[in-house]
Amino acid sequence: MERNIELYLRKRKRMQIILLSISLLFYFLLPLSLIFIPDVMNQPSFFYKMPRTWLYAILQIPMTWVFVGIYHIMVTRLERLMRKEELQ
Amino acid sequence: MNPTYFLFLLYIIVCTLIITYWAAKRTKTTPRFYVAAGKLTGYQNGMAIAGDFISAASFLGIIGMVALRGYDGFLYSIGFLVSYIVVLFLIAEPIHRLGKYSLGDVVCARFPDRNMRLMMALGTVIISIFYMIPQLVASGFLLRLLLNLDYSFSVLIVGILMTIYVVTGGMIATSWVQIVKTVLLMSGTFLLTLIVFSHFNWNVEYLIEKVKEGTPFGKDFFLPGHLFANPVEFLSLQLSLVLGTAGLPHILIRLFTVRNTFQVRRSLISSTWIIGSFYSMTLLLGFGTVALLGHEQLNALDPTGNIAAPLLAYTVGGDFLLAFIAAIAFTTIIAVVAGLVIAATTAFSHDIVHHIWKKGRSTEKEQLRAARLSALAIGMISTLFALSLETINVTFLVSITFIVAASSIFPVLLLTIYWKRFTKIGAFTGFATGLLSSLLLVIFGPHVMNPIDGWIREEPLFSLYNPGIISIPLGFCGAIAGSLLSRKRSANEFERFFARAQLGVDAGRDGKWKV
Amino acid sequence: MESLTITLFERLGILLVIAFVMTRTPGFKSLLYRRYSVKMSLVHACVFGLFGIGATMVGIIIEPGGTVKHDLILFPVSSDQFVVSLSLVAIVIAGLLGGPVLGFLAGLIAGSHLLFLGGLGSLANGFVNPITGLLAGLTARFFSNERVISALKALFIGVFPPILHMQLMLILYTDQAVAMVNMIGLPLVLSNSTAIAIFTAMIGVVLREQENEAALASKQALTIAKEALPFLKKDAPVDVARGIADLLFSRLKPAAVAVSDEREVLAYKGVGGDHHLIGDPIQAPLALQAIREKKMQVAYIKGDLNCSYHTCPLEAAIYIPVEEDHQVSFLITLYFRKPEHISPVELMMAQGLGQFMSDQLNMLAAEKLKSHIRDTKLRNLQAQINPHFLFNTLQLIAGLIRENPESARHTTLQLASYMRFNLRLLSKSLVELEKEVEHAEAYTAIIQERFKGRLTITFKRPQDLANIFIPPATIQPLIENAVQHGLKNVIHNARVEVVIEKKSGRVDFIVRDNGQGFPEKILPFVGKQPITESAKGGTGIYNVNQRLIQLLGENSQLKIRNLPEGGSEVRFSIMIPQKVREGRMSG
Repeated sequence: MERNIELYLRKRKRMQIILLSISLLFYFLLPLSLIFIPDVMNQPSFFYKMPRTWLYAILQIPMTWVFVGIYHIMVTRLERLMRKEELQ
Repeated sequence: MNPTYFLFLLYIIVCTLIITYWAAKRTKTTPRFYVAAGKLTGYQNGMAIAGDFISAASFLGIIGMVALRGYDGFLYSIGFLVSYIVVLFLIAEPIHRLGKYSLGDVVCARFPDRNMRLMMALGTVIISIFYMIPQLVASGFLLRLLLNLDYSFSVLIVGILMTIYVVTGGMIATSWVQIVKTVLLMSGTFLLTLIVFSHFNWNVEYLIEKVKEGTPFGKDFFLPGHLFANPVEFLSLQLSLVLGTAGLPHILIRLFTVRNTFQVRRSLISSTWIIGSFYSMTLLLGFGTVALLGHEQLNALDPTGNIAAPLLAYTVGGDFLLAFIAAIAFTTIIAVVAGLVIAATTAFSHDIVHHIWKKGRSTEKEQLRAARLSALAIGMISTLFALSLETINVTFLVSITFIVAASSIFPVLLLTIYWKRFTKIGAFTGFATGLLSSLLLVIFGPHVMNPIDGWIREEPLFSLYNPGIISIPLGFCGAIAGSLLSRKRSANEFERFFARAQLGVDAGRDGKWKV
Repeated sequence: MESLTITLFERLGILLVIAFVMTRTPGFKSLLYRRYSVKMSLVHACVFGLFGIGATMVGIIIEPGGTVKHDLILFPVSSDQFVVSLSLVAIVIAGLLGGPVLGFLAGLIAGSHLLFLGGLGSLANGFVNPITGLLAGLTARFFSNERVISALKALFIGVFPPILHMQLMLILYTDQAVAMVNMIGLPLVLSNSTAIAIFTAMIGVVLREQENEAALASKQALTIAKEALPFLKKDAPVDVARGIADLLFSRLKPAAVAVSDEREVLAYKGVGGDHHLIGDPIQAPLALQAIREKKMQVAYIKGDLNCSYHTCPLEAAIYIPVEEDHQVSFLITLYFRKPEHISPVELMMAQGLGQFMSDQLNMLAAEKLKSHIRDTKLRNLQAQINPHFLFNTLQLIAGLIRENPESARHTTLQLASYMRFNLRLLSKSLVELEKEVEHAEAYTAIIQERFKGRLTITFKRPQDLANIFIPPATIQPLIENAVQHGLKNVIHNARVEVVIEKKSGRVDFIVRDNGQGFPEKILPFVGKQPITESAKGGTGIYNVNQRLIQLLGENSQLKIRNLPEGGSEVRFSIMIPQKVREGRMSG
């Protein structure tokens, strides 16, 4: 059981760090891109001819949904495996 | 006084009072009062969180901001939404496992110290009251606008209502009022969006065309920069928003109202979906407003843009729709302030009175009475505050709360849960640094020190409206420095604590223990 | 706006009148039972759809100028007129009662009608009905703990359909609708929600009525069941039949009641008694079927009654078989003048009564059986009497014949008397005290003869012991016990004293001996447990004690003690029956 718990904690930490980094990166690149490459971002995109930065901003919403969902599914799975002691 | 407005508002008031009555009959014990005895399901809690979080500022303010300022207004929504990733990934489950009723419980799980508890309690009370005041002020304006009621009278009504909800119905009433508000809000906003969309013949391009016509920015409307001249402001804003929710006590204590961490995750997922949908719709509504009403008209009526939503409703649906939307706005306000009152009450009566003053020895009945009396006191105090602030522009208080939360409470929570080397002293220094820096920087910033209409008629010392980018790192630095400079604690204790935080020897809300 | 509100309330008044009448029909009550069958659901959907259409017809039309036309809406309207329909009330009720599918279907019907009528806002009018029906049904599922939600909840929920309606108008008709929405929005909200609440309250009344009816019927059934009990206990079937017939006739008030056994009528009460006679054989096919299948049958047609008199006023009947031990002992027939008089309540009651009486009869039979078994058990106890005695006595007689023929003859006669009595044992559980005393005396004589010189037995008894009853073989075993065990080790001067005397309403029986007494250890258990032969006490005393207790009660149990001067005493007493005592007193 001890080892199981350690495994669980490690796997979880890894998953958390990965997911968090990706999502926050996605998020922060938005303001950063506005600071550093405003011209690129202001070009009209295919999305109703609005600037790319709008598209990027709107995409944050589905991004949040997807990442939150992935986290939940993965943690639930890990917990179930830990309980059944089937973690590798 | 227009009978439609009056009747709709009356309907909301009666409905919520009935809910409170039903909840009051069930609220006879402290677990029920503080955390609804953990009996909310994940989905219900998700709706309540969404109801707690989406304040009048979101509903009214963001629509206006998008209408007037375009892209920069929308960034608020994004920040608000993505912050839930931070909450869920980093602190939601540990908080659920470590604490019983309040954030003080969470921190004291690692550092059992009266002063720590006091610190967190004070933080909670400060943030809650800061957040509450603009809501009450907004309600005063809303009721005055609709029913021609005197500002003080309106504030008094809302203040009394929120106090009744919490004193008699505790967390159960609060949660259900919030759930009802979410249902109303989502359906009303959805329908309003449909109406607006149909005005543009269901054609997005047409909508965008009209938007460009309606605003003096023309096609530049869609370019960023109409609110924040300085891109650093962007970053600062995004930073405070995304980290701020993870420091808001009234949202975090909602994580105690469910049975286990699975439900915690489910709550946050449902609330994220709801909030995300909501902000998508407000985007469209913002566009619709500027397209239908035009920038000048809106700006002339209310530069803050808060009146955008009601105005839009009136334009597309007349009195009837305005009454409906106004009722929704009203419900939004009372739901949020009730949530704030119960957060502050929990901090005051559970942390300060029960643990600090009575050293954890008061009986169940005494605790319950203390809780109810605290709720009464806090309700009254906030109402009194709001009554006296009629003429002062308090919208900046909303952004302050996020900055303060992100700079003081969030670092403490995060480091408590994850950093081995964190110490009590570090917590104090971090908290203090974060709190002071954020407050000072705002006071010295353009919100308060403004030659034209600020409290202090001087040139601002600090140029950013949003000092988050400075105060948040300062908070962390303070915490880190304080820890490194103080005595080391044994590593074992942290291991055990960490396991508990991550795995949960779940002290289940309904009294059962589970791993 | 006020006049519009008032007008709408007026129209809703009409609607509510129709609704009230609807709730009084039996078909409506069946809807509340929510028995799911596709056909019934479709029927209900049509009913509510029609109700919705009716609601539309009593609505009002708003003309382009804003004026209101008050005529009934029967024909399609022109495209600049607006139909204000009240159908949402009907559809919401359909959804709340019948679920989402019913609401949706009913909404479709009402909505199509509205589309057909046309005019301004017809699309909104049309669509809002099915959507509302669906949502109302889903809401009802959400509150599924109550069969029908409370009127107060309905009031609050009823606000939303008109709001939805207005929103749809605004969505589908954008600008033109605003003025209309402003005008009718609030009046519709107020009137609809109130009407829905009132209708829900009406339904609540119907439900409560039903529940009251059911409660009253149950109460009546239980009362009848209780009152039937004494009749069922009677021995003669005719008595049972008559009692039941009278009871059922007076309580259930049918036209007539007949109670028969499996072949012929035993009792009859009520109308048609002139030609439905006691002793008539059972002829009606359904009656025979009821007996054969042991299940209740109902005859709805006069012909099924098989009554040859065509002036017979009876036209319908319920046949209720009453079983005992898987055989039909009785057939109860409830006759009615008209088949319509037979309501579901009547049927349930009949069914229940039949079941109850069957159960009661079975229980009574079981009790009788139990007491028979008890009797037999007792008889077995009684038959445990020692055979050694016969054996020894014959030997004694054989010895006496030569030495003392007179004694031998005397002893033989006593033995005969004793044996004769023993035979009687097997047939009765109580015998005349006189006989039992004689039995004991006979025994005593034999024993005295056998142990002459060694043992002296004195026997004292009152003269008159008539009309008192006692279980047989209660005195003799005590004497036997005293002689056998008490005097085992006594060589001479053994004495046994038998005293029977009457004292204060009771007869005392005392047997004393001057032997060694009961061993202290077993003294508490004597009579209460069958102790084995070797110890003093043995089965005899246990047997006597048990029979005394079972047949005469605790007060008659044996009282056993060791005498202070040595020896033991066994005594018991029985009560002299009241009548005998009084008889005594009066002389």
